[in-house]
Amino acid sequence: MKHKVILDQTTRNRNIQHHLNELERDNYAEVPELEIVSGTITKPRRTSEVDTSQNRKTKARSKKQLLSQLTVKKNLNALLEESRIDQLPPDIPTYFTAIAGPSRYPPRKFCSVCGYLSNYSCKTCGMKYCSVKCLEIHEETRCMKYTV
Amino acid sequence: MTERKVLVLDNGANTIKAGYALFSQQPKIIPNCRVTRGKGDKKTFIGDQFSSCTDFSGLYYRLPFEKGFLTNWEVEKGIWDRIFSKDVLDCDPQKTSLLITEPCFNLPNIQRTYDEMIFEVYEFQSYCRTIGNFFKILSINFFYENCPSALYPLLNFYIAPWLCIQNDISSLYPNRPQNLAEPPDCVLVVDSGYSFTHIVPFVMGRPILPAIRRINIGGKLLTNHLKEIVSFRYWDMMDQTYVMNEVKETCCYVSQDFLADLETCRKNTRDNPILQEYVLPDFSRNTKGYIREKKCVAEIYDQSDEQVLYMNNERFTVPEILFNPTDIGMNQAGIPEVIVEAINATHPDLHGLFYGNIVLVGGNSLFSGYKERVEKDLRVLAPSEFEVKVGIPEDPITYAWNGGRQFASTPEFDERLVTRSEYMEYGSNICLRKFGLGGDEIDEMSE
Repeated sequence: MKHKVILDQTTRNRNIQHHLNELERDNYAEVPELEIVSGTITKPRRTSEVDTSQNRKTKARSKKQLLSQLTVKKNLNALLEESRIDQLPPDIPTYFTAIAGPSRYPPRKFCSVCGYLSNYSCKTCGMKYCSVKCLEIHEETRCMKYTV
Repeated sequence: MTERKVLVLDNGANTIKAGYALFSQQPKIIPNCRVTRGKGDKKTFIGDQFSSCTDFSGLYYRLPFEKGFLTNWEVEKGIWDRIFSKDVLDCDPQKTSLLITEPCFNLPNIQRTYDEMIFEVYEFQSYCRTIGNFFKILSINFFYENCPSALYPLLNFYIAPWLCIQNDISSLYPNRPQNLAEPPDCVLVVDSGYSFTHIVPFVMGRPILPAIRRINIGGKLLTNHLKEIVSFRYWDMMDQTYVMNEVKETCCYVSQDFLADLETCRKNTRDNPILQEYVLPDFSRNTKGYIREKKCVAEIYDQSDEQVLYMNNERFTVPEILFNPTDIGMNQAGIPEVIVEAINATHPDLHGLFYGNIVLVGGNSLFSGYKERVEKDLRVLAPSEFEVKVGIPEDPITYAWNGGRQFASTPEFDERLVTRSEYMEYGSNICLRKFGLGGDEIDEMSE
C-alpha cells in the first residue's frame, strides 16, 4: 500500500516563504571558490592603537585597519539586529513600520504549471493546478521534489 | 556660491548614476555589481567593464546591495574605486564634495559605515544627508551615546525620491494650465526600483516619515520569477540572469485588463496578438536577443539552430506582481492600494493634494502601460471627490540624479554640507544640528 504524504498548512506556508526568499537570490548556483577575494576575513580592530612616534605610518596603518573593519561582510539580518531599531517606541517610523500592509482583496490563484487561473490545489503539497493535464505534469516534475 | 566640484552619486542597487553636477547633463549609468565568469576565461568585470562583456553565459554576480541596503562594502569599494579612477570619472575625492543617495530608512549602523567609508577612507571634502530628519525624530540620545566619534568630511545623503522632487515636477503634468510656474506643495513619489518599491509623500519638500510605505517587490524579484517560470515551461534559464533581464525589459508589459488578456493568450497563434517569439542570443553569432515576427506554420520546420522563447502570458503576469504581490504568495498589497494606504496616513486635509500630484520613478516605471494601469487602479480606489493625476518623467532612472544636479547648484546645498574639518572638531553632533530638517513641522502635518 502506497504511503501518501500530505503536507500540513504550516509546512506549506514555510515552503511559500522559502520560495519567496529564493526569489531574492543574486545567483542561482553557489558562487564558486575562485570568487572569494583575499581580505574578507578580518581581525577585530584593536582599540588601544596609539603610536605617536611615526604618525604617517600610523595613519596609513589605521586607515587600512579601518578599511578591513568596514569591509567585514555582514548580512542584512545581522545589521537589522545590530541597529536595535526594533526596540524603539512604536510611534517612531523605522524600516519595520514602513512595510506595506496586506491587501484587502483575496489572492488570485494561478496554476503553477501553465500560469492560467486555477481552481484546484494539489492534495499533497498544496500547489495550484488548473486541469488534469497540468496535475500530471506537476506530479511528475515538481510535487514534493523541492521541499524545505 | 563657491566653485566647488560636486559629484552626484545616485547609489542604486542595480545601477549607479554618477556625474559631476556642473559639468554633465547626463549621468554615467554604471552597473553596481562585480561579475565573474565561472567557466572559460574566468574574467571579472567590475562596474562599467561589464559593457565589454560579450558572452553572458555562466556569470556569477556579486552585488553589494542586499534587499536594497548596502551590506557588502568590499564589492562596493571596488566599484567605487573604478568609478573614481581615470577610466570613468577621474575624481579626486579630497577636492570634491559628494552628494549621495541612500535607501529610505537606511539603518543607522549602515549610515555610519557610509560616513566612515566616505570620509576616512576616501577623504571626501564634504557631504550632506537628508535623512538627518530621521535622526531628529528618533530620540537622539538613544543612538549617540554609544556612537564612536567618527570623522566626517563633507557628505550629502539624500533619499532618491527627495532628489526627484528637486526637478521641475509641474512639467510632468502637461494638461494642467493653472499651476505652471509653481511647484506643487504636496507630491507623492512612487519609486519602484530593483530591490523594492517605496511610496513617499512629501509636503513642502520634506518627507512625511510615518507615511512612507515599502513593498518588497522589485525588478530583481520580477527577473527571478520570470527565470523560474521560463525554466519550468521552456528552456532552463536559471543561470542566465542577464539574458532574462533583457527578455523582461523587451517583452514584458503591464496589462490594462488582466483577465481579458489571459483569455486572449489561450487562443491559437493566429488570433493571439500577445504571443511573441523571442530569439535567444547564442553568443557566437548574435549577442543580443530580439523578437522575431511570427512565422506561419509551414516555415517552422526549416528553422536554423536558433533557440526561440515563446512569451505568452508571461509577458504580463510578471509585471502584474507589482500590482498584486499576492499572486506569488507575498502578503502585501499592490502599488495602487499602498498609495492609498500611504496617503491615508497623512493629514486628511492633504489627501486631495497628494492624489493630484503623483510621480512615478524607478526602473520598473519603464514597463509599457505602467502609468495607465496605476491611474486606472487608483481611480477606482481613491475617493471620488479627488482628482487623480499621475506623472512620469521621460527618463525615470536618471530623474533622481537630475534632481540632485539641480539641488547641488542651489545655495541650500551649501548650507547643508558638513565639512571634514567641522566633523573632526565636533564629532557626530554637528550632523544632527545641521541636518535636522525641522521634525516639528512634519509632526504637525501628519496624523
